Amino acid sequence: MSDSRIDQLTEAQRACLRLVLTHHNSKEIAALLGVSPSAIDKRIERAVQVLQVGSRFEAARLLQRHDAGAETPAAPPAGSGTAVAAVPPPRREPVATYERLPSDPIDVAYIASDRPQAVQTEPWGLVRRFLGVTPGRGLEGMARNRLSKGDRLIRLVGIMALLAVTTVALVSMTMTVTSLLRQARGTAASPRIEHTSRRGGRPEMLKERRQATDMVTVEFLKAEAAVDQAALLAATCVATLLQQRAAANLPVATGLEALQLMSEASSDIIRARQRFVDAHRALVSVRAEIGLANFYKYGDEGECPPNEGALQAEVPMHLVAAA
Amino acid sequence: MERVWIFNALQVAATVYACWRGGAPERLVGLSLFLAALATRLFHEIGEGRFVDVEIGIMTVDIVLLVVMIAITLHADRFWPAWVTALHALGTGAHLARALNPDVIRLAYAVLSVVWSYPIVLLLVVGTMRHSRRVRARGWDLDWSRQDPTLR
Repeated sequence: MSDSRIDQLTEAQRACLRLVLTHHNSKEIAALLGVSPSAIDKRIERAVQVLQVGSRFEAARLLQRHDAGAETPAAPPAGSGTAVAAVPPPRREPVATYERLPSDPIDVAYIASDRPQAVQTEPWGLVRRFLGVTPGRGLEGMARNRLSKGDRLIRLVGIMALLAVTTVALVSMTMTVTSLLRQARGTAASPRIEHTSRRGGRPEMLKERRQATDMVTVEFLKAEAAVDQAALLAATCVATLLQQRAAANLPVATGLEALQLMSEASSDIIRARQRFVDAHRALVSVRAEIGLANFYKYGDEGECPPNEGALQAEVPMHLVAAA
Repeated sequence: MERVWIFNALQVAATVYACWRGGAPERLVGLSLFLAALATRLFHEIGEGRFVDVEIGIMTVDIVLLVVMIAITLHADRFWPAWVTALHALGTGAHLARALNPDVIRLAYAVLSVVWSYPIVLLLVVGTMRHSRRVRARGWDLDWSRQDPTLR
């Protein structure tokens, strides 16, 4: 379609376009042809106008197709009879269609660097290939993302703001739903508290719950201490029995059955103590469940930290509060 | 636990796909995300059962990943890395929120810092698919914008 237009191009314009096709920028073309870069720009601009295309690349490709048509007998109508030298094909085009001129210096350099072996022999070749920055590997063309670095940063910040706003909306929605669910679960777990909470508002309910847990805590800690004391006494008793037998020079078999039973009782008490430790943890999670986690700073950890003493440390304050 | 393994499987699959079919940005993002997930997992294993305000190691990993992502966003001839970076930056922001205000509920913190990983992996897969489609259609696709001679 544009054969007649291509015929309008001057030889100088064609030379520039061919160099554009081999991915030279205006400066490089200027150096190769020995003219100023602005002159090159003008020539190419003029050529783009003549061919009525969008970019210099399109113009260059059009000329290349035209040249190829003139060269290959199989290709349909070669509009112009002007024998023009074949341009070196870009890497991505099927090479077989074109006749290469080995004498063309651009062509030689271009093809040589395209060999994959050349890449692999250098030490950083693999890394470079992974990063797509292999020097001389002429993957070039129109960029899709033509934004400058500053524009990209601005876009990035914009996207972040957009996402942040969306997220805040989503999260606050989720939080509301979660707190509603938690409330429902808390009331289902303790019907007595549900009863009281219906009478009062939320602060009232929280106060009631706090008092309830404080009372449980006090009793629990007493029981825990008692079991601890019992374990200590039982163990001491077993030890004393053994010591006294030895001190009194009684036979080893003396009181064997009593010793046996006593040590079993002692180990049972120790097991009971273990149960209390487990119960301690469970109690803490109960608090979290009924919405008192914030008062105890455990709610956001999900489980009781290693030091069990934390629960005791809080108690006096709550006793004061309850009083 | 299962959720963690599902994510790991997704991550590995996306990385393999990105390295297989993607251009340089996809490969790089895929590898970075995989390494970050691996390092995070490692820090989780080490830090199990410790009660620290902010997991410093995980935060470091996230910040390094953020720097890499920003660099890719600035240079790649793609549009999706900006979204990935923004998502990841917000996830990193959750650490900051936690550091500034320790009262951030653990759940919210976990959600904020974890939930982003899924759309990020999705974006990577979609980006790789689009790249490979372009390669099939045109025979080529740029990796970095500066491969365009007119942009130099």
